[in-house]
Order: sequence, then structure tokens, then C-alpha cells
Amino acid sequence: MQALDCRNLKELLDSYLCDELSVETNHAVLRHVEQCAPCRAEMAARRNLRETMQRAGTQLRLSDESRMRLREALRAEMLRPQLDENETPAPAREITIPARRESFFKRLFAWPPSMPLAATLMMIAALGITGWFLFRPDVTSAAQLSAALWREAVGDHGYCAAQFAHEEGPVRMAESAKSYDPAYAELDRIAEVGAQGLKLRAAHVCSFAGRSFAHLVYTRDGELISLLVTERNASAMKSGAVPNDDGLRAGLQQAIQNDLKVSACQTRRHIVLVVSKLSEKENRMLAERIALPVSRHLRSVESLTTK
Amino acid sequence: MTNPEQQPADFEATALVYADQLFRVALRLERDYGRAEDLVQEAYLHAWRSFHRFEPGTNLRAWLYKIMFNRYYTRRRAERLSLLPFEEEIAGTIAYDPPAPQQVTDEEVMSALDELPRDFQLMVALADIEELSYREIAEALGIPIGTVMSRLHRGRKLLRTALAGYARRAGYHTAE
Repeated sequence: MQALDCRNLKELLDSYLCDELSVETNHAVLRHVEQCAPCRAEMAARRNLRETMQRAGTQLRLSDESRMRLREALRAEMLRPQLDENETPAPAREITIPARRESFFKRLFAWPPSMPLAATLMMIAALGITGWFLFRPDVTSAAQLSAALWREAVGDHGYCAAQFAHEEGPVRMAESAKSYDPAYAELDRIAEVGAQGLKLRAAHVCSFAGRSFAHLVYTRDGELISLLVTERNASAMKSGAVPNDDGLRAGLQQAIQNDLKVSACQTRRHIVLVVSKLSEKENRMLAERIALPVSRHLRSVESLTTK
Repeated sequence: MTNPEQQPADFEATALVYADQLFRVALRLERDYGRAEDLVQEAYLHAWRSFHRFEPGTNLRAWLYKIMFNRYYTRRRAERLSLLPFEEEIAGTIAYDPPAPQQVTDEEVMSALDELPRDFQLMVALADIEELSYREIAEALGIPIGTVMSRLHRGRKLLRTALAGYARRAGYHTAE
């Protein structure tokens, strides 16, 4: 190898410092710096820079809490029967339940129990015309949710809920949930009323396939039930775009994947899902009890945070 | 040769030791603690699911990075395409190669690094902080080793340029 000049040497210095040069080139570098004081100084400065960067850069580590979450998620995954990642799961079968006439009226009357009758009547009158539009099935059904969302919800239930099946409650939604979404803070309390007969096992924020969920894990007679709340973003929607605030979010949508049933309802910014192995009907009834109050709560939180 | 028997204990013992460094790199990609944590978790779950296809004796660390970058770039394909040509252009215009500073604090180095365009920042962090070899970086990012070397070269130069700026502002003299 020919002798190096200072310019060549500077090009090679970093690779020399991270041991990427051939033995021959290494020798050439060393021979040059032995005789050249400025290059020796530059080598020392770059070595110092690299060591400083390494020392400062490796200070940051996963918190113990994060490490524990990672380990738990991994162990839960290891307990699952293996599904090759190339095998695509069976597509979710979707069942859309058109908003029903009686449920609309029932909710209309049940809604503000303390409201004076006159005001209620006025409201009915005001809604009379829009009501007609609302009853048309193509308009009443909520914006369609995407197959990806169904898969993610079922996946999160499968991966995460099982780990908590035997946890002893009562637990409260962790403070940290607020940092994901302030609307997640009170979810466990809101769902509590409808969740009678269910045992709350866990309340936290978790994620599956890149989607974050606020997750309440319940059991009833040994059956796991997940209440999940997630962001209503473009990937959650079948159309690939979040609808404008359409106001037409009535009704539950249902899907079945493998033997899991999912019922979902939407608000302007969120989607609330109930996942279990119960029958379609039972899952839907449960969703009406626990998901609908949660969605009402979220709507009120959302209306407060609207700019 | 692939690994027919997946051993959970093996995977945990050998793969989880890289969690901190994957997380640091994830944080450079996501710039958000929660999202970086999710990305690392996603990468590990994915890695476990395909662990039976991992060839024992090959580089586990580079393989984990590769999975993580794949997960990330699949989600951000559009962003990646829009970032690269512009950054290549910036770096192409730098002819001056400043000397490394004689004195430098941890804070100065880290903030200079954080301010580099992300693709260069990533290269420098992988090579100089996490000590991946050029070949490992090429493998992890799925790019030719020549591209790794040229980006790394520019990234390090940009870093020294930024540090020379700090030094001048602080009134240090650099050996010229």
C-alpha cells in the first residue's frame, strides 16, 4: 500500500476508528500518523469525539416499566399457538346492524331523564325532518370500519387480555393513560355501571400491530371480555379516510373473526369495541351496556376539547 | 438451515439484550417515547414469530434491526420517499471538512447529532453509538454497503461542521 497523504488519511480516519479497514490500510494509517503531528492530533480529537458520543448516546435505556411490558408482551406471544406471519388471518366477516327504529326512540326518551316534557317534544318536532333522513338505512349506518381495525382489536384481545385473566382487581386506569389520550383517564369508572356482573381485571394502554388501545379487561364466568378504545384515524376506516364529523355514528357494527365477536361504535375521534367469545347476540348486548356509555362519555369529552 | 424448534428461552436470552439499543434507534425514528416503545415491541413480537426462519450463527442483532426498520418503513413509506432526495442534495453541497473539535461536551455532541437530517443521524448513531459494522448497517437497512459508507461519511462531516459552529460560538479555537 502506498503512503497516504493527509487528505487521504482524513478520509480514512473514521473507518480506522471503527475498525473497518483492512490490515494493510490500517498499517498505512498508523505509519502516517507516526510522522505527522497534525494528523495525530486529528486522530485523537476524532477518537475523543466518538467516545464522547458513545458515552452520552448510550445513557438512554428503556425504563424498567417499559422493559417489563416488552417482556410480558413477548411471553404472551410465546404462549400463543404459532401462526406463521405469512399466513394471512381469515378475513373478518362483517355484519352491519342498521340502526333500529325502536332503539332510536328508546334512546331519545331515555336520554335526558330530567328534561321537561315540553322541551323533549320540541326536540322531537325539530328532529322530525332530520329523523326521516336518519331512518334511511344507507344514511343511518355508521361509517364502515376497516378489516384492519377488526384484526387489530381481535389481536389485541388475544395477545393482551389473556395475560390478565387471573389478575386480582380492583385496578384503576393508570395515570400514564392520560399521556396517550386525556379521554382515556376515566374510562374504567364510566364503564363500571354497565359492567355489573363482570370482573375488571386490568385497565391500561397497550398496543397491537402499531395501534394503541385503552384496554379494560373483564371476565365473566371464566370468559374474557375486552373493552377497547382507540383513535378513529384513517386506517380504522374502510374508506381509508376519516369521515368529516358526519354526526351519523349511531348503531353498533359487528364482525366475527375466527371465534371472536366484535361490536363497535364510533364517536368523532374514537372507536369503542367489545371483543369476546360470547355469542353475537350476547356480545352485542354487552356492548350496548358498556360501550355505549363510554362512547357518550367520549363525545362529551370531545366536545369540550373541540377548538 | 433454519431452526425447527423455537426455543422461547433462547430467544429471550439472546434477543432481549438488544432492547435498549433498538429503543434508542426507534426513538430517533419516532421521536416519541411511547411510539418508540411500541415500535420496539412490535419488532420483537414479529421477530419471535419468524424466529424459526432465523439462521443460527448469523447476525441476530442486524436481523432485529432489519425487522424494526421494515416495520417502521412499511408504515412510513410515503415519508421516506419524500425525505431522501432532499437530504442527499443538502449533503452533496458540503465540500468543507472541518477538523474534529478538541473539546466537546456530551450535550453539544448529542444536540448536534439530533439536529442532523434524520437519515444521516441514523447512520452515525448506528455506527458510532451502537457500534454496528458497515455490513450490519447495510443488512439492517437493506441498502448497498457503498451507500452506507457514503452517507456515513457525509453524516460525520455534517456533525463535525455543526460542532465547529458550536466551538466558534463558544470561543474555542480549533486546530486548523
